[in-house]
Amino acid sequence: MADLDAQLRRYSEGVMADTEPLTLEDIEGRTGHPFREPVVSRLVPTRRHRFRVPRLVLVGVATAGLVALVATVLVVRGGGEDPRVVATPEATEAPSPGVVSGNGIETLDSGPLSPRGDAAVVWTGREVVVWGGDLEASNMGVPGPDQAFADGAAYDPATRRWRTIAPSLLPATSDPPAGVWADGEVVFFRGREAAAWDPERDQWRSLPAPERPVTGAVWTGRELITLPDFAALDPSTREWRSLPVPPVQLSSEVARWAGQELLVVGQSEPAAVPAGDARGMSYDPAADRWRELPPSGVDAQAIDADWNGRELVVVNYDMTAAAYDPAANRWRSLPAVPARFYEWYPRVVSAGAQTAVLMAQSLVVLDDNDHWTPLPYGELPVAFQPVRPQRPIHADGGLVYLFGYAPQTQQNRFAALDLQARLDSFDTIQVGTVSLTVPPGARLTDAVFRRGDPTGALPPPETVTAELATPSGTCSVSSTYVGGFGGLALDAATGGTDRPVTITPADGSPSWEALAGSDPDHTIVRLDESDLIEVTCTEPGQALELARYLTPPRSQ
Amino acid sequence: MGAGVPPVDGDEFTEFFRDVEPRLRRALVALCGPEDGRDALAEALTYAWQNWRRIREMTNPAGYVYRVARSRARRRRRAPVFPVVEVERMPEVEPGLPGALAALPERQRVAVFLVYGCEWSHPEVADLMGVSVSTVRNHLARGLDRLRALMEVRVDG
Repeated sequence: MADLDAQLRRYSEGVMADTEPLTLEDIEGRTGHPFREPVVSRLVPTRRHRFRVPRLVLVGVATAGLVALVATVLVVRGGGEDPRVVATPEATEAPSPGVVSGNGIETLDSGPLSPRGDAAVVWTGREVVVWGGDLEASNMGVPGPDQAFADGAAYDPATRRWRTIAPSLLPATSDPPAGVWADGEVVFFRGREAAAWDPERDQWRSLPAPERPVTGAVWTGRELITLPDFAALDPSTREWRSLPVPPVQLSSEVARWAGQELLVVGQSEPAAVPAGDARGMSYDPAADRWRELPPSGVDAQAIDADWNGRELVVVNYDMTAAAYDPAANRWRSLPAVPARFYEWYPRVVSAGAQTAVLMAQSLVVLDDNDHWTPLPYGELPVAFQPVRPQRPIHADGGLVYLFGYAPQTQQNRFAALDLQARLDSFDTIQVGTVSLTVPPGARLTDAVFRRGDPTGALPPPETVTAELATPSGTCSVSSTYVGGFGGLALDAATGGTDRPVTITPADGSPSWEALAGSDPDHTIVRLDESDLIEVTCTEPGQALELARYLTPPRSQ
Repeated sequence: MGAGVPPVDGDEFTEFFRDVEPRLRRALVALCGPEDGRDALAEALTYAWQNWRRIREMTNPAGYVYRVARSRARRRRRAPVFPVVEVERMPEVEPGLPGALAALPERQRVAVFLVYGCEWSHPEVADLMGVSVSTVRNHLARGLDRLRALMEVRVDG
């Protein structure tokens, strides 16, 4: 037998000879676009925007919970680099218009608008448009009276500049606005008012008022179907029409356009506690017909959903997930989302090949193999808000833009997220189990947390320590338990009290500090922007499992 | 990998593709076997095209594409699979080599396959992996030792 070097050489030659090279056509087949043709040639100047109409759904998810994620999540893909040209429909698969620096998240200039929540945020194919919103002073931690806004601004990723937009025809009311990109103009609804803004001319036109207040809308390519009453507006003819009576009366509904039909999931009326399984229905505009979907198997509490091009991915308050395939008319269960449970609404957003869930400063990405990967949240905007209708999500794949109010700074925050780049910035390494001694008398149970029982049986402040084994060696975890809402041990320090958990690596490298905000079930300890440890606390006195350790980002 | 930044004008992605595909294919085959490796590379090159404006600005776009492919391959959560040795075609190769290769730690396997199987230089492998040349040497030494142990190869000199 030949020596090992020779065997390796011969074997490798054979393997590579049998491995067919990839061709340009292989890649074209996956993208659906010929890449040998320069992208710019597929961009043609026109006077008006002619991007493919983005899938855009306004979601009126209601109530329940002490805090809510109010950052508006906007997903975009495509669009020209040059503001003077716009893309043909085919060009919507072209590279993203903005470049996200860093590890897939970039904080952007938050623009000229005054601090606000609940603004409508819309991707036009070229710009991110932010309009309306309000300031609930007492709930947002600012002095003075509540305010409502009817002004707006637009951000162009190609130039990285904002422009203010013309004064609107819509009133400044406390009704949360809804905005939809509808073939060349953005249609805004606010309560029982509607108007359209032309980004090319920076002009508004009025539209006939809906019969009932609108909380959201979906563009089908021809009409806007409005929520929650499912009427349809054709903005070109300015005519409203009624849809057939839906087969299910839903509340807290989420609607997404699935290419040929509208998919809606929500909680069946009358609302109940517990919410029961989410129910779904589909509306086919071509046939002007509704159909009811099979049982989802997912509790309807605080659900959110997005269409990923093949399935409607649904996630709820308990981080239970499922996907509905309209072609097969079938639901399938997905693994539970490894994000912290919290009194919070999840945000589901599909961008390109990825579907992500944003939940209580957790960012978790689902891949094609139904595996969820938690990633560092970074400096994405989130905010704590009291009970109020949820914000719309707008989606068209690719980059994700998030606009929201940051209570820490009492300013707006705006950021871009490239999910694939974020995912590719980290290695995931499975490491072992650590133990954590829980203070005597502490109770860490799901029931306690969910009841919101803040003090009951919780002990006085006490320091707990644990040895934490990481790839860089053993380190000491020290946390001062102070009682209060949310728990004990690590969580007591991070959840209800904002007290930091200090992790001191034995090798003398800088201490790591815990993320603020956590819960007894899942505590995420943030090392810094690039490192993350997720630990899962099982029971008091038992072990904490160090589930994932993400290495520092790879340098480029 | 040394692919460098392709020219700005013209069909630069095509040029990039043709430049890096053969080498990345070898690297991905080393990583996870021919079938999954080719698929992962196809996914990564598709991603590269879709994000070309960003990737083309990188100092080592080929290395980045390799890491994207590796990330995609890892999500498959499958052990690498190498084809069995066809004795008539490769009589000099131990039938146990594919299994032993698959059993090596990832970086050792890639280093061994590329250096001894594909005649890559140590700096080329270091560039691909984003590690130092000395690290590559360590991977090679440990990889060969382990490969020998796994195959119970009798070294003749």
